[in-house]
Amino acid sequence: MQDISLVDLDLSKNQITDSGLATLCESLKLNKSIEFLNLAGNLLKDEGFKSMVDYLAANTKLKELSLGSNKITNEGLLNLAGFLAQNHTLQMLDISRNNFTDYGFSLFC
Amino acid sequence: MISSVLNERCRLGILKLRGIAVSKLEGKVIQYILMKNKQLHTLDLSFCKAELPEHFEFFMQKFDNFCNIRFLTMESMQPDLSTSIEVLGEALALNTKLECLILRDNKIKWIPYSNFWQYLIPNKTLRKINVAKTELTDKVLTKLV
Repeated sequence: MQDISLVDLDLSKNQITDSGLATLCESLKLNKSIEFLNLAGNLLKDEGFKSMVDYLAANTKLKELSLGSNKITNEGLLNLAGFLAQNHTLQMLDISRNNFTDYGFSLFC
Repeated sequence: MISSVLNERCRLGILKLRGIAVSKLEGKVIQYILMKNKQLHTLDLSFCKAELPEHFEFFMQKFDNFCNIRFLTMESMQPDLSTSIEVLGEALALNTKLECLILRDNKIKWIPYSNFWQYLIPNKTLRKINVAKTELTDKVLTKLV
């Protein structure tokens, strides 16, 4: 994936876990072209989100990220909030239908 | 219809053959279109049903370096693509035109699916890949990345 000029990757509604997400994010760190990434409807939890936040911190290309219908809790949401404060390229983030509460969401905002 | 599509004055750019039954004849006809028609840039074969999985292979093998298609959609193919996905991967390894590949909602066993991604490594033109709802697991993902 590092060598191809992939811009849009839709991996939604599959069976990707935190382990797979960590592998994907390591690879994506070397890929400088991805702008749209859809990981909605997988089996992702907070642990996997740490890899995602590391990747996002080093990324200046990604415009749209869909993470809906996973298993993110307040903890994962807080990690993501820290990154969002510093990122200036992401234009769309979908975190619908996860496991965080109103309290987590208030911290996120 | 086919002779019209293959006529050199035909300017058809988009061809949708969604939901057709693919016997050996249709498989060969699609193969022939891919080989002879240089105007088509978009092909949609979603929801096609083959009598035998091998019938898909007639045209899967022609998405190679001689194929001009830039946008290819094959959603929800039946029977599942486990038998023919590797043939597609071998062809796409050589392809230099395809930009968008949509394979969403297909059932593919993990070994042929892993091999497909392995074959795809030399491809340099794909910009959009949609493999939503294809039972992609972590094990397969390691080959994709």
